[in-house]
Amino acid sequence: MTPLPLDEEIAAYVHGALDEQATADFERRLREDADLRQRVARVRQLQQAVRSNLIAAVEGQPIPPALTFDAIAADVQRRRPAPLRLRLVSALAVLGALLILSGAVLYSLGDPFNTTGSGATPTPALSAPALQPIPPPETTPQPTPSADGPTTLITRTPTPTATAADTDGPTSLPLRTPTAGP
Amino acid sequence: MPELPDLIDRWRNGDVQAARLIYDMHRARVFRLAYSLLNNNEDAEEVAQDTLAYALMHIEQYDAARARFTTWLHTITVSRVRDRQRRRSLSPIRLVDWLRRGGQPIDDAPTPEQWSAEQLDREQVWQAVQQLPPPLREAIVLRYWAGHSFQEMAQIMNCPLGTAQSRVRRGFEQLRDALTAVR
Repeated sequence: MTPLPLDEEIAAYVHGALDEQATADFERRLREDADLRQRVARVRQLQQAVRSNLIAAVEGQPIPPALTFDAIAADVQRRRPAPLRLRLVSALAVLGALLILSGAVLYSLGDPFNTTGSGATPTPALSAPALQPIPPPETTPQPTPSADGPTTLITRTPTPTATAADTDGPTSLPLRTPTAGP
Repeated sequence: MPELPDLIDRWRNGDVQAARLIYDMHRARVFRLAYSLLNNNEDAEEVAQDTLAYALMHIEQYDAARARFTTWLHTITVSRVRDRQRRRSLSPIRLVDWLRRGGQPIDDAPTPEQWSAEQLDREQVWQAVQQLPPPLREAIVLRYWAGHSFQEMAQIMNCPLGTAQSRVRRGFEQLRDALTAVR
């Protein structure tokens, strides 16, 4: 450890900033060295002068009359129960988070309300929309516009994607053709 | 007069009268610490009020096993003072003062007799303290005026023990130089 310069060592000693061993060593030197004692005395006097003047300057400062408890009483009393409220809000937040988490866990396991199928059946609200059958093309008879013309029927043209099965019945979803095995 | 720990317990249980007593016991000390560090009456008043309100509203955070109540209050005060200094960018030393000090010799050390409290002017000491950089000013005020131990100072200034010690030493050296220069 690098020794302090003498001025710093004196200041540290006067301010009580030396450790026990360093203080003992310094006091041994003090007993033997009159010049060192004089320097320490000078620092002590300055320290005491500064301290007493600083205390006098600070203590002489008048306290502002507006610095009263009444000025903050409303705030203090209003915010006093805050920790309790905060704890309550925190507890509710944790409870809510647990509920959401448990819901998510149950959903991942399956619909807890589905008592008929397997547990893997998704809930209707969250499943993909059910496929609806495409209605077959309709042939709508139209009223005869005039007596002298031929009666015509306007026939709706099937869409290009429609197959023959479209016209055969209500279940008109295109069925996947089974492929032959290898 | 009830003891402080009793008042703190009573306030923790919602006794507003106890809060009032705690406030009255500490308002002057908190204000004067803030004033010593800010050298501005209005700023010090605001900091003191803010400090006391915060302390009373967060009394649950005070742990008597870790620090004296005064140390805790002074920690809050110093933190508020630093915020205020940052916000207002208070200069620790006016340019004219710095120029004036820079032109004067500081190496003619006075005799011990010259350093009597009576001969040192209170205003000179006050101005010299105010001209210290904020960390050194904190250290000098907390040590000389508030009488805190170095351990408490380290806690209040949020620094290592050795730093608290060196700040007092350096602050004192700068005070000595400044006071020598003005004589």
